[in-house]
Amino acid sequence: MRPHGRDALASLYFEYPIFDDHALPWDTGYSYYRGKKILEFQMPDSANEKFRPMYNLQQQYIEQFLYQCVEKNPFIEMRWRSELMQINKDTDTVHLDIKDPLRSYTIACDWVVAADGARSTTRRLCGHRLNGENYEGRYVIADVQMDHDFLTIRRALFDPKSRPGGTVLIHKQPHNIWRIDYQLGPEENAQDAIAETSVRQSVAAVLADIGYAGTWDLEWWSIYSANTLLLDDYRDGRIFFAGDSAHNVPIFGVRGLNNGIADGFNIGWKLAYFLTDKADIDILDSYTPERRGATLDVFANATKSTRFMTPPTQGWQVMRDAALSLALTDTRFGKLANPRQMTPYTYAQSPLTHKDDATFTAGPKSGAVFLDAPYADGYLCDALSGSYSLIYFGQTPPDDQDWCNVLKADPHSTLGDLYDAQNGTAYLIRPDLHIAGRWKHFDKTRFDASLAKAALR
Amino acid sequence: MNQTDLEQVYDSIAQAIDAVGPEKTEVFLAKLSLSLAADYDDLASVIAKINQASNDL
Repeated sequence: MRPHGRDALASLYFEYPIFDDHALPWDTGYSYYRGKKILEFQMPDSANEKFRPMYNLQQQYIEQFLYQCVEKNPFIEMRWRSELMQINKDTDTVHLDIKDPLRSYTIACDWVVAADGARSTTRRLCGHRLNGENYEGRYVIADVQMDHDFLTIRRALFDPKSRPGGTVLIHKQPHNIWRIDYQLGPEENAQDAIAETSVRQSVAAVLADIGYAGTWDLEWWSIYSANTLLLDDYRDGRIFFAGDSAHNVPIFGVRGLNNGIADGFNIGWKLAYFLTDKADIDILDSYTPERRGATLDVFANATKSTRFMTPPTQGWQVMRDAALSLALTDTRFGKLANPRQMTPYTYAQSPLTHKDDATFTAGPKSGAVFLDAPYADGYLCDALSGSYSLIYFGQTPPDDQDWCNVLKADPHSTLGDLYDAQNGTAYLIRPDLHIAGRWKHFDKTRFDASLAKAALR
Repeated sequence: MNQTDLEQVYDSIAQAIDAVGPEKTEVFLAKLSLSLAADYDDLASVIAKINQASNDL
């Protein structure tokens, strides 16, 4: 999980200790070619930020945290074992026919957010399809429990003894679980490859590669291939698609869960602002361009990584092998194996984003994700939650508004330096922690709800 | 050459290999090597690169 995803969870009121008891932070990767290290990379990190660049955490913990969050919220009701059977749409209502083990009934909904996964029933019933590309490379993904003494980093093994010509990825997960992804060769049959004996043999060979000779248990395994697929529109009237129901992204960009969380964060606050009369209905129109744009950005970066991890044609294969071979004696070529370190997508073109003030020489730009920094007794991310925030640098900030909290900040502080602030500078931060606008000299007389929407200026 | 340009070269050669097809790949790569070497003044460096490329195959 990447920091913006972590910030998103934090702002959804997760209790830090629960997360921190399990999640493993990391910032380093090693790449090997035929057993020799050809690249060490480090992700940018800073003591000014509360969270580390990456966290490894199994999906069931995220699900558990989400469930705990839902349970605490009196406005949310969880209905288990319910199946969506039919959707009927009219102008101002969506009728969902639901079947559970005891009954069948219809719910009339003002709005629907379909976060029902890669095989989304909502998507199928609405008659929409994901469009894009499937890549050839197939990976088996296996979780192994073992007392393996190694750093929490990302290891990529190219052409190892265990998978000649293939690629293996190894990540440490909480509680001594190691996630191993290994590529299948073109001649390997998928059905045979996911037979337990075959997975055990393959895992044993990978463990021999990394010099682990102890005992291990095979916990779970599955198979996948890289896809770049998405919907043409993430919205169908009163239905919004979020997460895998809207897009399938390759794993190599580490963006699957993070993008899903960002989708939910995005449509969540927009619906809340509209339903509480803090924004007009057209705020909802910004969902597709912002989140579909973010998906296309992931595709652009992930396509490069995917070409390196699973070369799709002879040309990419030959170049990949050449680069790896040269990397054994020349580090310039090892950098070609560097997974793309993507920053979260910038909503520069969104109707909710003000034109960036060009007089700034540092700090997060309009549309970008905010930058964490020390603030008060903790961090800025702790002070931002649930609504728009205006960070005002100076002694006389404007008053809070119903749509926006005001935070007073010192221009002569680490935060002030990182945000290139002086007396009278202000940053407007959206509930999902993107910068809506920033002004070197903020005009307090213009601090009203229209600021939340750049298009209305 | 900076990293971005090197990546551009990587992509262009990969696409060219696919465009010329498997039977002509060898000649294509030999032509490319020879013409790049022709722009190089230093024979010893070219020989060192030939040796480097021959290793670790």
